[in-house]
Amino acid sequence: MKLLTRYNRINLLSTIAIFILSGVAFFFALHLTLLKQMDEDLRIEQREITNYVALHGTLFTPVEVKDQETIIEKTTTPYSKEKFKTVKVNHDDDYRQLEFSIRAGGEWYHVKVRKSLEATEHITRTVFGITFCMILLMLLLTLVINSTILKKLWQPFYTSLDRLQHFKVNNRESLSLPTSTIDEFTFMNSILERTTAKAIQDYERLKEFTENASHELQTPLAIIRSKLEMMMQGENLTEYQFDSLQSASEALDRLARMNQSLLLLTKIENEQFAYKSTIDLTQIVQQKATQFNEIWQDKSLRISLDVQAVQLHTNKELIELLLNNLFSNATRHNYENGIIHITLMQDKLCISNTGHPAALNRKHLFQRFYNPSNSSTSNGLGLAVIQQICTASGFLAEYDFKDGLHIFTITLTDH
Amino acid sequence: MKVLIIEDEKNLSDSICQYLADENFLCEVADTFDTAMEKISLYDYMCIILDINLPGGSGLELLKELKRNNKNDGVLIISARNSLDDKVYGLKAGADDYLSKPFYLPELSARVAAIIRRKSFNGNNVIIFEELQLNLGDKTAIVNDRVIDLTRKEYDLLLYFISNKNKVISKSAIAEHICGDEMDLSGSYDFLYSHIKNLRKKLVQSGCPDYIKSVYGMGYKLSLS
Repeated sequence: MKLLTRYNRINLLSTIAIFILSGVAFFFALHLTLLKQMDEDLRIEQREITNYVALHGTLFTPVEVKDQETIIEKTTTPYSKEKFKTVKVNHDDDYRQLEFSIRAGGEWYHVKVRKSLEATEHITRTVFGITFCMILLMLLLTLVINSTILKKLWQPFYTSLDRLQHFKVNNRESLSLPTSTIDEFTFMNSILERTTAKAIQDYERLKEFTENASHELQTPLAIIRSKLEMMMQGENLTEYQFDSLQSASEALDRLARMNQSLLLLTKIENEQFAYKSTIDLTQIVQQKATQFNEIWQDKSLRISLDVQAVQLHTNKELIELLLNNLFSNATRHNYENGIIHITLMQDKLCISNTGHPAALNRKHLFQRFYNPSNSSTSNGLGLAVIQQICTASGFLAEYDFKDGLHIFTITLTDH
Repeated sequence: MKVLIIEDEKNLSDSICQYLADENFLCEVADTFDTAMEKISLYDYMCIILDINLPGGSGLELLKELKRNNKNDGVLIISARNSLDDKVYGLKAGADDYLSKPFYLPELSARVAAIIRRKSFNGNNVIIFEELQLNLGDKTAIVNDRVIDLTRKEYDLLLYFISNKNKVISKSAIAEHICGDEMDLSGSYDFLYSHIKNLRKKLVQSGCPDYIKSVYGMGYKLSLS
C-alpha cells in the first residue's frame, strides 16, 4: 500500500469517528439544553396557576393557546410532588408535560401543563443538519489537501526513490538526487548519496583487487609449473615421486584455470569485451561442436545438433567463451553414454544434458564457487562466467530440469 | 642458436634456460629493462623471449626499439596479462608470437623453435629425427621415402614431440597444445590416448621404432631408447 493511501485511510477513518462521536454528543447536549429551557417555561405556567389559586381561591377555566394545553382534573389522591415527562398527543406530536397537584376551594386537583416540542425538534434538526454538512465539507477538504499538498510535499522523496531504483553499482554513475528545502529529505538524500558513492567505490576496489590478484598470481603459477616440468624430466624418479608430481601438476592446472576464470569475470565486468560485430552464430556453434566432438566420442555421448541460421550483433569472443563454457559444462557433468541436445533457434540457444539425477539449486546455481557435487574437476566458476557473459551481452540465462535432463536456455534477444 | 630471455623473475628464467639448453639453444638472461636494452642493441638473437612487465619499463618499448633499429630477431611475448587486446597489440608491434602465463615449457620450446625456423628458413625446412622426416612446408611426415598418412592433429602431435624430444610432456600440456587453452577439459584427457595410440601405430607400421613412450600415468616422451 502506498504511503499516501495509507495516510489518507487512517486520516479519513479517524476524522469520521471523531465527527460521529462529537455529532452524537452535540445532538444530546443541544436536546437536553432545549428541554431544560422548556421545563423552565412550564414552571412559569405552574407559578402563574399557583398565584391565581392563592389570589382567587378557585381554579380558572383553561384558555386554548397554540402549542400549549392545560388540563385540570378533580382528584382524591394528590401527587406528592410535581413530575416532568415527554408524552405523545394524538399519537403524533411530542409534548413536554408538567404534572402537579393543587388544592383549591377545599378540593384537590391534578393539573397537567403541556407545551409542544415541535419547535425544539425543528431547531435540533436544523443545527444537526448544518453540522453534518460542515463535516462532509471538511472531510472533502481534507481529502483534497492530502492528495494535492501532501503529494507535493512528498515529491522529493518519491523522486529519490525512483532514482535509487535505477541505480546500479556497476554503472560507475554516482547517484545524484535533487535538493530539497525540507530538512529530513535533504538529510536522507545526503545519506543515500554518501552510501551509494561508498558502494561504488567498494565495488571498484573489489574489481581492481580481483584483477590485480589474478594478474599477480600468473607469474608465480608460471614459476611453479616450470619447476614441476623440470622435475618431471629427472631420471630415476620413484613411483611415489611421480605420483606426487602428477598430483601437484593437476592441482596447479586447476588453480591456473580458476585464476583464468576469475580474470575473465573481472574483464567482462570491466567491459573489456565491448566491441560488437555481426556474427554467424550457426557457424560458431557448429565449429565448437566439431571441436568438442572428440571428447564427446571419447565419452560415448550421443549428441543431437539442431541449428537454424542465426545472425547476431554481439562480441564474438564472448560468444565463443559462452559456448565453450556451456559445452564444457554439459560434457563434464555428463556420464558415459549420456545425451547432449543442442538446439539453436532464432532467439534461443538450448543445451540440455543428462547427468546428476536431481535438479540443481536454481537460486545458487549461477553464483561464483557454487559447486554442489564438490567435484574436483569443477571450479564452480563456469556458470558464473555464463551468467556474466549473458548480463554483459543482454542475454538471459535460465536453468530447468525436465525428464532427467538439465536444460540451460540462453534467450538471445536483448533485455 | 642464441636466445635472449627478458624476464625479471629469476626462478622462471632459470627454468626456461635449463629447458631450452637441452635443445641446443644458448640462453642469455636479462632481468631489467636497462640490461635488456643493452643486450639487444649489442647482439643479435635468433629469438627473444620477452616479458611485458619489467622493472624499469615496458617490454613493448623494447619491442619498438628492435623495430626502430630494423633488427630481425624473433620475438615471443610472455605476459601475465592474458587478454586479446594485449595480444593483438603485441603482434601488431612486431612480435612473432604471444604466450600468456602460466605456460607449459614444452609449448614455449615448440614456439621458440617455430619462430626460429620461420626466421631462418622461411618455414620451408625439414626436421629430421632419425629416419623420421617432417616437411614443414606441406606438413607431411616421411619415413624411408614413404609418406605416412597422418591426420592434421597427429602431425601436430608428432611435431610437438620432436620439438621436445627426450622430454616428458604432461598430458595437460599436450591437451592444451591440441585443443587450445579456451576449452575447459578439466582433467579429462582420455581422448589424447586414442590420438597417441594411432600415431604410434602408424609410425610403427611405416617401419619406425616406437619412439613415443608413456611415462607412468603422467605424460609421454619421445626418445631413442
